[in-house]
Amino acid sequence: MGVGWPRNDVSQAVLKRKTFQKGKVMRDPVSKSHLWKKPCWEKYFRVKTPGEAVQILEELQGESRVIAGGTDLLARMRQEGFGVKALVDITCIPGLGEIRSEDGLIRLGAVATPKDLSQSSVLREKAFCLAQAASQIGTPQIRNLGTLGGNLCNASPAADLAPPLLIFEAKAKIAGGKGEREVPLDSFFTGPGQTVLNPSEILKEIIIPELRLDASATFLKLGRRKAADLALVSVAVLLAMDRKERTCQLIRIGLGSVAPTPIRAKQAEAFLIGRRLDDRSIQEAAQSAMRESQPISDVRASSQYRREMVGVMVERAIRKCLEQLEGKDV
Amino acid sequence: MKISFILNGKKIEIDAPPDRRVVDLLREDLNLTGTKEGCGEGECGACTILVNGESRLSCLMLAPQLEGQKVTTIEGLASAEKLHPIQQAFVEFGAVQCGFCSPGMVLASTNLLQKNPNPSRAEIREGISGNFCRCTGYQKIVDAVEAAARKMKI
Amino acid sequence: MKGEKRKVILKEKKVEIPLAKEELEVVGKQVIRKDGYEKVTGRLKFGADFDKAGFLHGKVLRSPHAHALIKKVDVEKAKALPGVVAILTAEDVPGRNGFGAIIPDQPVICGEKVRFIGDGVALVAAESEEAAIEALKLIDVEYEPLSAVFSPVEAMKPGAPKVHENGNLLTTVRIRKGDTEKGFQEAEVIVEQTYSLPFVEHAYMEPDVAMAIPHEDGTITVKGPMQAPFTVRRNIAPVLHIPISKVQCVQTHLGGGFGGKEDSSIDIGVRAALLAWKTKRPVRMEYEREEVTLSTAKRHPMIIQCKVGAKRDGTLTALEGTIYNEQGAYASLGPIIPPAGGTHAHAVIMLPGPYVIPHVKVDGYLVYTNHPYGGAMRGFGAPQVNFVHESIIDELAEALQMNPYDLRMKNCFELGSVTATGQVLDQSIALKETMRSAADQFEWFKRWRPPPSKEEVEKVEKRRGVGMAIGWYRTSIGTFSDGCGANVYVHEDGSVILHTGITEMGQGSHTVLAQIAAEELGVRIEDVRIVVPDTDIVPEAGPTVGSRSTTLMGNAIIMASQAVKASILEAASEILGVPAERLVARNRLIFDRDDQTRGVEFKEAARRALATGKRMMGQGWWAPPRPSFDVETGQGYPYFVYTYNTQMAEVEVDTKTGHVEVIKVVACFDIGRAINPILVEGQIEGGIMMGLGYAMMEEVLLKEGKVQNLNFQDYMIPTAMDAPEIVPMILEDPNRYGPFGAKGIGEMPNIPTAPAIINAVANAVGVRIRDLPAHSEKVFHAMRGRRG
Repeated sequence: MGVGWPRNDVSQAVLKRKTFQKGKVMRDPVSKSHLWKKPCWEKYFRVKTPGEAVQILEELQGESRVIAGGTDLLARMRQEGFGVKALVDITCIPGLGEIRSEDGLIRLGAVATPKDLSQSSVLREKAFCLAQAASQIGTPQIRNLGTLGGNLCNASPAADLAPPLLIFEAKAKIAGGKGEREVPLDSFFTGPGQTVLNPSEILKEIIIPELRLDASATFLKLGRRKAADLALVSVAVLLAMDRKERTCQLIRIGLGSVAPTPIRAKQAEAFLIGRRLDDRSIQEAAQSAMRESQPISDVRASSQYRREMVGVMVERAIRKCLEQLEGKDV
Repeated sequence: MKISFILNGKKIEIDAPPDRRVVDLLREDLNLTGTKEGCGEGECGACTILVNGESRLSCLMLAPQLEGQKVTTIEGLASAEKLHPIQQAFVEFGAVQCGFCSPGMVLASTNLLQKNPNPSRAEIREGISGNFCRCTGYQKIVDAVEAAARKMKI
Repeated sequence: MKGEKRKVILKEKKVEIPLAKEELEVVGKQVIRKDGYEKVTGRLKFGADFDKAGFLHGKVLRSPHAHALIKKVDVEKAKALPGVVAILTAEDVPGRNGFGAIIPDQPVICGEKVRFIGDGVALVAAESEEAAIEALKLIDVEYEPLSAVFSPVEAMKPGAPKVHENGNLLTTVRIRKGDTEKGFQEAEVIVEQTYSLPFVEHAYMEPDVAMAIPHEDGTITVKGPMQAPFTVRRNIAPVLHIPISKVQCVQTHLGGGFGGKEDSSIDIGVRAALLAWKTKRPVRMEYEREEVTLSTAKRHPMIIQCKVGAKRDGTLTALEGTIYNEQGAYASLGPIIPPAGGTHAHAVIMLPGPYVIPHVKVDGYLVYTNHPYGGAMRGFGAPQVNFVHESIIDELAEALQMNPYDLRMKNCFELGSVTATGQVLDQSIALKETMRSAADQFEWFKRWRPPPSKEEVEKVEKRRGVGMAIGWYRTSIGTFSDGCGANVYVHEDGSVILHTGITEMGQGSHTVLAQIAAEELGVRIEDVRIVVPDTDIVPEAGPTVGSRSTTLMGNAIIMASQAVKASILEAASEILGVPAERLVARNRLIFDRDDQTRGVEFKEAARRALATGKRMMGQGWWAPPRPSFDVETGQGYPYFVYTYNTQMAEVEVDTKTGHVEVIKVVACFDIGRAINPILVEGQIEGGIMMGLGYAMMEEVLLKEGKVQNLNFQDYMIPTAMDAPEIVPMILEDPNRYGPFGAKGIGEMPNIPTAPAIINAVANAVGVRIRDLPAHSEKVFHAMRGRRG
């Protein structure tokens, strides 16, 4: 169990392309899953600054990888194995695990753990749904060990932290050889297991605005059992409304596990904006989100079920936001 | 590479290859076999250890990640003569059957009670949800943790 | 809320038991398990915890094909790899190239062909694990793929690919009682359905391991977590072509077994022994989790057609059933061991359920396929058929518009009932009492409502429902060779050593058996030490299966204890000048029954017994009453006593997602006598959780013969968060043949849970799941189907 990577289908497809196949067909495809026992890199760097990390990654172009918590990395190694010569541990960089709020923005350090996020008073006050999502990742041990950056950079479609960050229109601050750049999170993911990061860049920070006082946000996850599971579908919704007219002023819908990357359901959002929030409009928005999702079938669920559940979960999440808004004194 | 950390209260320095998993370091290099490996991919929780008091999975950790940390394994939880109240409660309440999950389960419970000395039964279930047990049905484990919490408050 | 627990003691019936309850000192007490301390401190050594120094590392090269001929195995490149000590192929097996718990049809190393994905094609021993793994990659195997068969129904058709030479149909077992045609004519309501059950993995937490050590004198020792060390020994000897007396199997503490380590310990033990034998070096093998899931035995999948008829008032008139029982690639524990052993026979015998039915016809086919193989798993064929009879009884109740409790109560076994095999149940049967007690505790009649209409379901997001199931389970294995022995040694300081071949795998047998010895001898439990089961030392015990340990071995221990106790009492009699017949031993004291002020310490008597040359050891051997069973008619007395159980479950179903949450399970058992109630409760709670997994999430997913969910990320077992509140209840209707009235408990709790949950789902949302597991998606589609 890593912080979010499913390892049977999507991941295999990706990794085969990237590393595993060396033009030779495995004679024994069954045993490979248990052939791995020991990783194989020779060097392990514990860096103290982002610059140092970037420098090493540049020097060992393609033969090095960033490690933070290591939960996804080691679990995937067991399944797939892949050859890198060095790991660059960024968890000792001072401040990289901090969560702080300034000027209406919340800055989340890349190596903050899900436990940090779920217990952060800043998030509990100003972006509660992110704390909610963090508290539903994996197991207590994984939440102590994994990191925000790992959850995002491994780019699992099922990354639990992605949907709530998408609805906050988070920005990813990336450090590289040519300095720093900021990328909106919805263009950060480029495919299953793939991001805009080039091999010598590291994710430093995620920046989100505080939740508007007149808005509410929520996160819902559907798994196969109640704990220690990947999401079959995860949904995050952010909602603000005109209280007199009950019309939708602001709506953002983030979806996990139902497309090659975490996505926003923008058609559903466009449909709902300006509309009166009633049973019918909420259901239609949920239907629209279903149409926007492109889930796959795998050992965990069929695409049909996942799509249906997008509808159910989006509807529930919008209703929950509405309830919260109605309970708010603004 | 040289790695130094505090293991069960004692400072140690050990030379380990950078790709050594912590579970192998503990079990094979340091002969601390109380830490178990049940799945090797971070699902079952049998390999749970405490790092700076927090439960973590030694099968998903690399030796260099221990640098400078305070590590507690099941061997370091209690003194030779006296069991930790959680261990005592596990024995008394029938929370142990085959015992393979017990070290990890006890350590996860330790972390839980340290964070939350007064957990509800639901919170206990949540706190041990990363440790699979195939024998007990979890009920007696929850009983034991609940009893240990009461005892530790006195 | 802590589960409220209640123990109900039945009025004692007129049954002879060794001692009246209140006189017991150790038995029936909440004795703390003997191995608890070592386990919570991590000091107890499991198989993988022993020092690896000096051992070669063994690995198995596994087949990627479900069915293929082996054309060539080229090991030259692998042999040349530094660190590799031996690569073995089929021709290197000195003796019989086959193993198996019943029929040795599984090659130690496949020579001609492979029959499932994971079959062993070559063995490697190397100085390091890395070298062994590298060597596997260098072995070149040329296969000629054959068409494979993956369903028992397909495999029975003429022209199906033959998994084994003699054809795919391995065993047929039938029950013929009365005339079902007549029975269905008498019926006013008939329900007929097909159910299917998946492969399920034991998921014991400790992966398999074996250490084999060859000795100078031509003997060999094999150590590991063995559920049945004698069965492992029985398999190693012919493979190495040496007498059984030269093979020593020593059990290491099992990190869970559940039936699985009856088979897997043969598989890994035989292979490690062969590598050690050929290299003349100690060899250690360890299967990783994925390998365990891939290659070891599982619970048999079954497709079962069942038809049941009843009169309007609910009286059952007839039952017919056909079981297509998928054996997979190898026989394992499927086929018959005369007269009524083996999973398949047990499933057939159990299919009619604990009900009095005048006309019964069952046909059970056990069929080879190219899947992994079915073996023993907690319940041994019973969980599958119990799911069927308990589902169809509920379906019948619905058709009759009856409360399912009333339908069961009307038809289920009571004292004097005759089973489908013609067995008269003449003692220790409190099934109806378990129903009544469970119903009181659960408040069944207050909570049960008829299933809802679809409109009612659609109105709400979550709906609760209740369901129940009952069951019976044998104690013993139903074979002629069900005997077991024990040795009890008393020492001059009053301490005791007990030799038993029953293995400790978490269930607590070594505590319970020590309690029995302590009680019978009159010492304290801490005075009794059980040695590690070692086939060189302990008498044959049979396997630790069939819920037989407490009852069968308990009797052997009582006999052994009595034998040695005679010496001690004789010595005490000499000291006290009181006839031995008047002496009572209890709690380390021996005293005059008629004058309790006159006594002597147990150890004092023991010292004198040794000093005066008296016998200091006792031997006991006990076998249950001889079973009988005719595979053609299904008539006979297959097992000598049964445990009975009622379970009631409450669930909450999410009507939009299909997610089922089990809220509460009340389970009441008639187990004769609870030797150690806290351990009995542990068996109950653990069994129920495993049953919950069976109901809701567990399934080995196979695609073209390949397991899709090799590790715990996708092989779902319940976590603590999925656990309901469980209320375990114990009833005691003493078993005339049991030690202190006891009968088995290990497997029973695992059996009626799944149908109780599935019946509760049907009660909550009006849809019936007939193929397990009922995961959210399946329940969702069923509700959607009902909506039309």
